Amino acid sequence: MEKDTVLLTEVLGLAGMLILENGGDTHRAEETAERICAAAGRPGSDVLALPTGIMITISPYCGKKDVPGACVGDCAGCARPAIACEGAEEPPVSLIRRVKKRTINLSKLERANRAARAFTDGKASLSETLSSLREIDAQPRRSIYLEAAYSALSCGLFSLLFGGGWFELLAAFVCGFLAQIVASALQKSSIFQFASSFIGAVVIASLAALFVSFTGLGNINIIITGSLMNLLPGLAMTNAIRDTMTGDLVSGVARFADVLLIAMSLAGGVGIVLSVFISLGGTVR
Amino acid sequence: MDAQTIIFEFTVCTAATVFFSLLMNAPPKTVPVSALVGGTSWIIYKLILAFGQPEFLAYFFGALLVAVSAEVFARLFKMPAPIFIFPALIPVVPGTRLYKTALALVEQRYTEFRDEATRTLFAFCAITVALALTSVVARSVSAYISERNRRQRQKEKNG
Repeated sequence: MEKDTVLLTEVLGLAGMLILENGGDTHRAEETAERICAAAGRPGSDVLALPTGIMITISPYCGKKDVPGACVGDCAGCARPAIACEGAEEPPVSLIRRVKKRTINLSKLERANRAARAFTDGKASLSETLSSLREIDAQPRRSIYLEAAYSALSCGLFSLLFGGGWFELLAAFVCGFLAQIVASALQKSSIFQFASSFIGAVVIASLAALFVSFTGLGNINIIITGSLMNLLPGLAMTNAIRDTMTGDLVSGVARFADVLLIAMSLAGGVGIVLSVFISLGGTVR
Repeated sequence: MDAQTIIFEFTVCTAATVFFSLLMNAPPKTVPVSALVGGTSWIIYKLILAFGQPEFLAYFFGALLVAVSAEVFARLFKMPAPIFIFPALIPVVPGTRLYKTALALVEQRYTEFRDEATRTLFAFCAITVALALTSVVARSVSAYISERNRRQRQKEKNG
């Protein structure tokens, strides 16, 4: 039984971490953990997920709730268990996991969700769930160049959508490619989101300015707006709203601050480069 | 907006969203769905603007389509809704507005900066409202359905 509690804590920590690291909202992390607890027969356990970490306490549970007269504790039928139920034979276990990197990987998010669901549906045991979660966690990152190519293609197409021609498409393609490579390099060295969007915006704007001033072709506005699309805080905004709606005020406010910070650093990065460009005699049509 | 422009923009936007969802490493079977939703929401956004309606409405309905279809597909595919929202929302996030705001500030056109900043803020608000509304409705509906199922099961147990 003791081992089971430790195993359960391990599963909860890893599942919550995987969800928070790969773009899930805190409500989903908490809800998943609560469902796993309920399915494991520990309904009184508590989970607090934040964008930056997850805290878990597994309350001991005497398992005598349904036996009349057997409950010796004062935990009111386990509706809100005390930190140590008197009938329980083991101490409570708690775990804090810090979430240090926040990336977007929808595949990992989906697989973590599926693994948790398999356990709550009774299709997998606790140790099976743990090993499949570990497998998801250990999944290697895709090649940086592949990601850069995806980013480049979507940036190029967005600039076409915003009224660009072939030149804008090619320029945005190059900007998107290099911006993504820079962003991946920054992620590896664990620099914060703020720096990565600021530097991404600087890279995009300076490349676009170079292209336009050296060839004398193209519209710099279209190149920059097309290439910026990948850096926009759409994901942070979605999560901010979802967290606020479910009453996770701390996470909601933190994520709204994140949205504002990303938007301002993008605008600031582009702004600085363009003001240098203009003062050197360039024109922005 | 003529039919040709609509078809061209829909195709380009759908393709752009495909690569964007690949960048986010979306599960393969969700990619076409999110891409089509992204393309459609862009067309709705453009059509509302083309009919001379305020920009707020265009952003609102573009985001609303994304949010509603994400909730529907989340239940069909048995996957979390954000997996569909993240890639499909990108076309309607006001990147162009944000850029114009920065540009106006840089070129020291302060009146335009004020206008653009307000518009950017309102665009973000419109998207926020659409997402929030949908998420609240979806949560209440699924809570209602699960409550009803539970009651039904209890009734069958008792009766």
